[in-house]
Formats: sequence, C-alpha cells, structure tokens
Amino acid sequence: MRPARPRAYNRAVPLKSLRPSAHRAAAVLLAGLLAAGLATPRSGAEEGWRAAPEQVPVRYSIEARLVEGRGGEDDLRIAGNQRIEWRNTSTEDVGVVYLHLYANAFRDSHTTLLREARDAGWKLPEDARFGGIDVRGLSLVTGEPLELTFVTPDDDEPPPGTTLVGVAPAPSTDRTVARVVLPRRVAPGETLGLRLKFTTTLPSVMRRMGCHRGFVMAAQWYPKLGRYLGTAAPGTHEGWYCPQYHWTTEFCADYADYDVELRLRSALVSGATGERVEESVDEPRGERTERWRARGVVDFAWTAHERFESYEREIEPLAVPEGRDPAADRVLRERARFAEVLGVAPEELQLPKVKVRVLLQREHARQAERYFEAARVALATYGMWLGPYPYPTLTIVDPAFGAKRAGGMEYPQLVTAATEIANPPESLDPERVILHEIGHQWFMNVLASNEAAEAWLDEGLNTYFTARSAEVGYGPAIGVTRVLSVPLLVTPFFDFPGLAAEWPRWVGLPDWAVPPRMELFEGWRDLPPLSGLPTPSYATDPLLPQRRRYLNRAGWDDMVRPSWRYADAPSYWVNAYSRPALFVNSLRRTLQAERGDAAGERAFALGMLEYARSQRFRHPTTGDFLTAFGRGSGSDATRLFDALAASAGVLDYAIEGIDVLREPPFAGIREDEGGEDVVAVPDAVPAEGEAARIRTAVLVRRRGDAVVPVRIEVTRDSGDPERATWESTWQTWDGRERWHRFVFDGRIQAARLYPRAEFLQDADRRNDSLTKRQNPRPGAKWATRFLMWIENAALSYGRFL
Amino acid sequence: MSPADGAVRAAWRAVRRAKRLVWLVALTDALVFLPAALYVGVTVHRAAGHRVDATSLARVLDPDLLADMDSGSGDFRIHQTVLAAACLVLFFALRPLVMGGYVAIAARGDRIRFDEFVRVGGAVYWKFLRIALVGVVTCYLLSLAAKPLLAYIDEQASSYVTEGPAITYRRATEVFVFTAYWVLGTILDYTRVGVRMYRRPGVFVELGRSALFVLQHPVETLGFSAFAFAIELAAIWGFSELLQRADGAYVLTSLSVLLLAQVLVALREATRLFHHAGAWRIRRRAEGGAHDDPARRRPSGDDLLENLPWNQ
Repeated sequence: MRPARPRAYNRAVPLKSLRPSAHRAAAVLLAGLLAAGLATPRSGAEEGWRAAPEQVPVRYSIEARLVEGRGGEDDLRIAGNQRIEWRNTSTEDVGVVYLHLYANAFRDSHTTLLREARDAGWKLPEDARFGGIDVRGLSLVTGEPLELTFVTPDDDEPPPGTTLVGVAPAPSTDRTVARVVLPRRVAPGETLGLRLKFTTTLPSVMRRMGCHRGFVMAAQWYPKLGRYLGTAAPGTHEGWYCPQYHWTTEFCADYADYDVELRLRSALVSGATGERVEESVDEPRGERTERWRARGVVDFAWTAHERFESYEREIEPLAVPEGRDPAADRVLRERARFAEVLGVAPEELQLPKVKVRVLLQREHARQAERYFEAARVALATYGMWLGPYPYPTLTIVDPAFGAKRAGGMEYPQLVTAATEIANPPESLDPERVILHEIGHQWFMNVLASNEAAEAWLDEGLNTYFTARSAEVGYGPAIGVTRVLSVPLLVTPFFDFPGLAAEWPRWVGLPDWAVPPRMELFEGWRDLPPLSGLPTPSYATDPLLPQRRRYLNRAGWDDMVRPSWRYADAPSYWVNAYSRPALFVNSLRRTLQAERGDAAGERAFALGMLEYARSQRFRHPTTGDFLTAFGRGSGSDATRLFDALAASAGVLDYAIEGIDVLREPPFAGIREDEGGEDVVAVPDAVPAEGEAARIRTAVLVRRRGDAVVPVRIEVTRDSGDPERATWESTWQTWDGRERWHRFVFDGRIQAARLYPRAEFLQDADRRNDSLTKRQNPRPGAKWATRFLMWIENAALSYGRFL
Repeated sequence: MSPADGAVRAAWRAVRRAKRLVWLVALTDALVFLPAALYVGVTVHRAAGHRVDATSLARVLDPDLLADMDSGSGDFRIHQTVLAAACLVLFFALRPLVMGGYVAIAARGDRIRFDEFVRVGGAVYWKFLRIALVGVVTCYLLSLAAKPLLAYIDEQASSYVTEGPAITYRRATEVFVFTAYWVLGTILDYTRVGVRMYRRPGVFVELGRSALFVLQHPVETLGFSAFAFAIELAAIWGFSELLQRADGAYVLTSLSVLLLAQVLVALREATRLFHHAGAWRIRRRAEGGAHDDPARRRPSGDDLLENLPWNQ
C-alpha cells in the first residue's frame, strides 16, 4: 500500500503569527520539504503547522505579590487578584464551573495526593510545612457573588478493584476541586467572567511546588479552570473534566492566554512561562514588578530565588556552536540522516532560533554549557521529528538544594531539571532530564493530550523520543557510583545487603534495626575502582532501560486508563512511561522489518510528523494518535496497539529448540522405471542428492498472551566454522498459534527472534535466540568477577572484625 | 624508646617468613567462595551461553541480562544473596583459625610450619571466635548508634540552600563513623595479640585492656594500623588498574583476572598478618619485652599435620 503523503508541509501554513526568525526558519523547513515532493497541498482550507491554538477559550489576568511572613524565607505566600474569562465553546448550556485548587493538596496529611503518596511508600518529611490556597470574594465580573463548594469527583468508595472488609472508607479532606454554581447558564459561544482573590501559602517542596529557604517554585499556584468536554464525555462531572490532584497524575487544561503581574523583592531573580513584557522597580520598597504574557499555553508557572545565576543565549538548534567541528557534531549528523529519510537536502531542514534562559544555582554554574547543549539537542531533535518549537523563549530552572522535588517537571516554556555538583558528563545527568522536560513542550503543551486520563500520550511518547534524542546527542549514559560524593564511572557487580546497604524487606528487620546506608562503607566493601564495571545504560538499543522498568510490572494493567486507577504507583510509572515507549519502538521497528530500513524509517517519521502536525495545538486522544499515525505512515497502528497496549497481556515468544532432521537413504518398496514395485534395501546406495538431505527445524513457542507477527532469522553454517560465511534467512509467522515449526534446508548454526529488535517488551530475552554451540565466555567472565568481588568484600568486612 | 620502634621491621620479617601460609590462606578464601561463584557462572551460562550475542554479554555487564535472570521465577538475586551470605558465614567461621595462625606467626618471630599454624589457630579458635562475635555485635550497635547522627546530619544538610556545605558535612560524618570502625578493628587486633601474649582466659577483660592500651598509645598503635591500612589501599589501587586492563570477554582473560585477583587477596591477607605482627611487637615493647612466645613444642613423628607434604 502506498504510504499517504504527509499533509504536514503545505502552503496553507499560517505563519503570520510566528516571529520573523521563526517564520523564516519554518518557511525554509517547509519549503524544502515541499520541494522534495513530501508535501502535497490539497486544499486551501487544509491546515499546516499551526503557530498557535485555533481555540483559546480561557483568559487569565492575575496580579500576584510574593509576601514574606514572620517565619522568614520559609514562610512565603502569594496574594493574588484574578480574573478568569471562559468562553463556552461547546454546544451545551453550562450552569456550573469546576475549578482546580491544586495547592490544597498540601493542606494536610489526608489529602488525596498525600494519602496516595503514603500508600506508594513515600514518607512525609518530618519538617514538612503544609500550605494551601484560600479563595475569597468569588464573584462574576458584574459583581454578583458566587459560592464555592469543595467536591471529590474521583473518590469512589471503595476504590475500583478493592473490597473493604471490616474497614471504614478512608477519610478524605481533599479540597483540590471546587464547584461553583452559576446564577445563570452560559450559552454556547457566550463568555463567562469570574473575579476572585486568593492567597496561596507555599508549602515546603514536597512535590513540584513550594518554597525552600527563599527558593520559590510557583506551580499550580492559582485557581485554574477544569476543561469543559460536555456531559456525554467519559470521566466528566456535569460536563467538566476536573480530577483531584493525585500522586500519579499530572494536569489537563484548556489552552489559555495569561497576563500575569508579579511583585517580588528586587533581589530575587525570576523566570516564568511566556515573555516578560514590562518591568519596573520600586526602589524605596525594594520591590520589582514584572508583567508576563503567555499566549496559547496550558499552564503558567514561575520561579524566583536570590541565588539564581541567570544565563541567556539565543540557540539556533541546527547550527553548529562556535568552535565546534561540524563533522563531529552529532546533531548535524542526525539532520543529515533525517533529511535522507525524508529525501531532502540537509540544509533545507531549518528550525527557528530560541532564546534559552538557564537559571542555575551558583554552585552549579560550571554546568551552564551542558544545560545549553542539552537544550540545543532537544530543540533540534524534537523540532526535526515533530515540528518546530513554537515559542521564542524557553527557561530551564535548577531548583535549590533541598528543593529537588521541584525538579524534573515541565510547564509551558519553563522546565525544571536538577543536578549535583559532582555529576560527570558521562552520567548524562542532568542532560536526560532536560531532554525529557523540554520534550514535554511538545507532548504536553503543543500536543495537549489529557495527562490524567491518557498519560501515555505525553509521558510515554516523550519517553520514547527522549531516549532517541539522548542517543542522537550523547549515546548511552554510564552508571555512576559515588564514594564520599566523588563520582566513579563504574557500578558494583553485585549489591549485597549488609552493613553498608539497605537490607531487603525479606530479611524482616524492623526499621529501627536496619543499619544505615553510607557511601564510604559501600565504597570500602565494593572497591569500585577494582571490582566495579563500566556499565552503559544500554548495549544495543536506547529503549532497553525502559524494558527493564517494564518488567517490574509486566502483565499488571492495561496501558491506557486514568492515572490513579492503576494497581499501584509502579504500575502507573510503567504504563505511562516505559510500556508506551516500547510500543512506539515496536511501531518503528516493525515498519522497518516489513518495508526495509529506509522505507520503514520514512514511514515511521511521516506517521509521527502527521500526528504532530494534525494535532498541533489540539487535545489529541489515543484514537487521534492511531488515526494520524496510520494516515502518515500508511500502516495500521491499531493492530499493534491492540496486541501490545489494549490489554495487560505479556509478550513472550521462545525458541524451544533447534533440531537437525536427517533424511535417511530410502528403504522399502518403490516403483522402478517400468512401474514395477521393487524393494530397496536400507544400505543401498542412495539416489543422487539423497545423502545431502539434511534439514533443520526451529521450534518457536508463544509463552505469553500477546500475539504479534514473529520474525525469525537463522544463521547458516556453511563449512568450516572458523571461516564460515554467514548468511541469514528470514521467516515470519503471525504468531497466533501457540507454536510454530520453521524447517530450513541444510544446517543452521543459530536462530533468533525479532532480528530488528521489534519487540523489546518480550518478557524473557534469554529464550529469544539459540545457538547450537554453547559459549562459555559469559559464565566464565561473571563467575570470575563475582569471586573477585566477594573475596575482597569479605576481606573488607573482615578488616573491622 | 618508642614501642613502635622496630615494629615495621618485625612485621615485614613475619610476612616474609610466612609467604607460603599467606598464599594458602588466600587459596582457602577462594575455595570458601567458590560455590557462590560457581552458581553465578552456571546461571549466567544457562542464561547467556546459548545466545547469539554471548560474547558481547561477556564484554559488558548487561543490566538486561540481569533483569531477565531476576524476572519471573528467576530469583537469581535472591539465590545469589543467600549463597553469598552462607559463604560469608563460612568465611567468618574460619577467620578465627586464620587469625590465630597470624598471631602465632607474630609471636614466633620465626618461620612457622603449617601444622603449628593450624594447631595454634585451633587452640585459640573459640576465644577468637568470641572476639569476632563481640566485633560483629559492636559493629552492628555502632551502626545503629551512628544512624541518628547520620539522619540528623542528613536532615541538617537538606535544609541548606546550597549543596557544597551539605556534601562536606555528610563526608565528615561518614569519615568519622568509618574511623570509629577502623579504631574498633584495631582494638580487636590488639585484643587477639593480648589474648595470645598473656594467655588470659577472659575475652572481655582483654578487650578492655587492649582498648586501654590503644588509647594509651594512640600514636604507635593507630599510626601503625594506618600504615598497614595504607599498604592495603596501595595494593588495591595498584591492582585496580591492572585488573581492569586484564579483563576481557574471553575465557583466557577471565583466568588471568582470577590469578591477579588471588594475588591481591594474598597481599591483603599479608597486610593483616603485617598488622598483627607489628601489634605484637608494639605491645611487647610497651610491656618491656617480657612476653615472648615460649619455645615451639616439637610434635611427635606420627603427627598428621606435621607430615603433610609441604612441611617436609
């Protein structure tokens, strides 16, 4: 079937709203692809790369002031006046409004978030400071007062999949969702105006937001509207999708325009979503007023800290940084590769410049270059694969020490990473976090899927592209062992529980009796320079680390369900991050296996581009992804999705054996040339060619539930093993039966499944290949290494006894 | 004259004269852990020996292979942990015998035969085992005592707004706790020496006396212990580079690693002997040299240990 041509690059691209540089670069990118025949303009009405959302139903105007209380720099509040305008874009009259008050998740220890966190094994710090948000003076813009009541739309009792036996339902004090009854219904197309005052008391940084010794991460800090999806939409209450703040949930919102005025102490260095359009200083009061504007974004976050070192640079993602050899630049190599995949000249792929601002803690100032390079790699790779970054600015925040729980989070045009002084470049820490969080500018904001209901569409797809982006920019990360905070690029062979390590649960020691963990003791026991091994995060495929995580919860849950409905938190992490990343990898690899490397790669690239283009600045669903990808790639992605994601089924195919089948010389009765039966004696000389009738059977069995097409590659042994000519033969099987036997003519030396690593989610890779000759090297190597480790560990322990 | 005078020379002489015994102890160490190592070898061979990428699996520690061995009903880690723990128990059960032998070598100041090494080790076995058990319990209690300190420092460090001071405080605390363990280990070594030197029946009395002795002569005792420790660290450091270079993905390179590792183990055992011999000398000098070991008792001609081939 001929792949559909991408509609991504057509002449109807609304570029007017892009900045001049972005306009130019995007135009070059698109023109290049048009020239290459990749884009087929259809009709004038057809869309191209949107520069902004078509519908922005919400507008927030906020005046906020950061107020320091008597408790000093750990007692901070945000006092705000807010105006919300919401346009009813549905076809229904709306009589109520739902608001997120996320900050109330930190109001007490029994909120939904902190209760779920406790259930997941997270411990509330002893010095935790609670916070929350108070809303006062809620009214219509006309002055009519409104009443706000707290509701808990997700609190089913008992929770799904749970039976309460002699147990009262857990008390919930959650106030993260508020319901407001309107005095009159809002008709379709009509705009509702609300006005309110709020005070957000910043908690200590427990998750994503809060303050710590003067560092402020203001995320989910203001009353925010839920999304109105209509009364018929699943998961809604009175038409509003407004889930509580769960431990395993991120956010879901309409596109909105923000106009935010912040009043801060002058000494604070700040960063926020959007662009700073005004700034004034009130010297007598020591205050600074900043006005930030953001257009067509799903959230607004800001940060401030006195100790931030601010670095700013205009990054041209596909240009070589000054002083670097273009031939050695990995990003340019990827551009050349990707251009070849698309069939255009590399120079025709251009991306707009982005002003990147890095707010670093002073002690991490040396890592500024690494931050900028990671930003360049992310903007270049995601930009090429999924369309250009649409905003002129991007801010990367390094949270204060002690507030690392604010790190590793994404907000529109602002992301938080986290690093340490002694992070060697080989560890790719913080690079991988930066790549991932910048990736969320696409899989969260530009493609604003529902992060609460279908987390895989943002976290999963982003995890896949983060792995590939890191592969392009850096290669595998090397495992690090720290001894007295000194990083060593090796990992111990074996993590033995003992004096220097945490005891596993199965030992059954109570908490107080568990010896503490100390780096120095671990170092003395393991002797990393001696027994440690350089351990890259993967050997062959950048998605392999995701496979290891997936194995922890393989077979537990369907991949797609509301985030708080998984069996436990690890199941959420697996099904939102790792498993979808492996699924997307399977899509790509299967296309390569079916169509060959170049055509398969092209089909995958076009499928993803089509999804990214058609859903740009929209709210895509799983169905939208499958449809768009299928349209772009020319293949049906639904089949693989059903097999690998729709159920909890585990994939496991195994090569059970390789058997040589010898065809003996003919014995018995056969017809001679005259048609007469004659008896052939067993030791008679066989007919010509009969002596060479040797066949080899490879038996493959499906051990898991998931059914996928299985490819098998065998390696023939043609003669002397030392000088063997290796040639491969491909066979396929649709995998529906429980077993299948492949019979090959002649002898084969080895067989393996999924030769293109199509299905990394296979639950047991040990049985994915089989050779006739056993290789003693791995056993000898690891037995020796273990012996060396344990002898030295025993002598190290013995030093104290 | 300082009690430490001549300690290094005496210790060096003891090590030189007991080379073969040290090699034998190193070999015993290897044999003790061989079952666990064989389990690892066989399990890895079963998991990877038949794979087409077996050689590359021998080249780098593949986390995916370990994940496969651990997933499902594999339980590789648990079996490995239990086997390692059992081997460690056996190692520490044999340790008093070895330590007894080391003290015998230190006491003799002369070449010692294997039979005497075992005989003296056996004679003090139960006392030394009690010392080791006291050491285990003390180490454990020390770790529990250090726990609130570490937690407090950690909490204080987390409350800092910058990383630098937090790292410094954590480092200092860990070094402090580690030093406490090291001092404990030194005291236990002097206890073993004292038990043999004074033939005292009570372990706890000698433990107290040795602790007092170490505290009364901190420069000599802890200084010499630090010297022995430095030699051990130097051996580890030197062999680290050598071993990493020798390692590879072939059976031959694995064998070379095995040999080099055994040399290192022998060197580390030698440093323990070195410390015991030096400790004997220091303690003897401090007491005025009145506690030399009595003359060696010649065993009868039909003694089994005496007649072992390497004693002839």
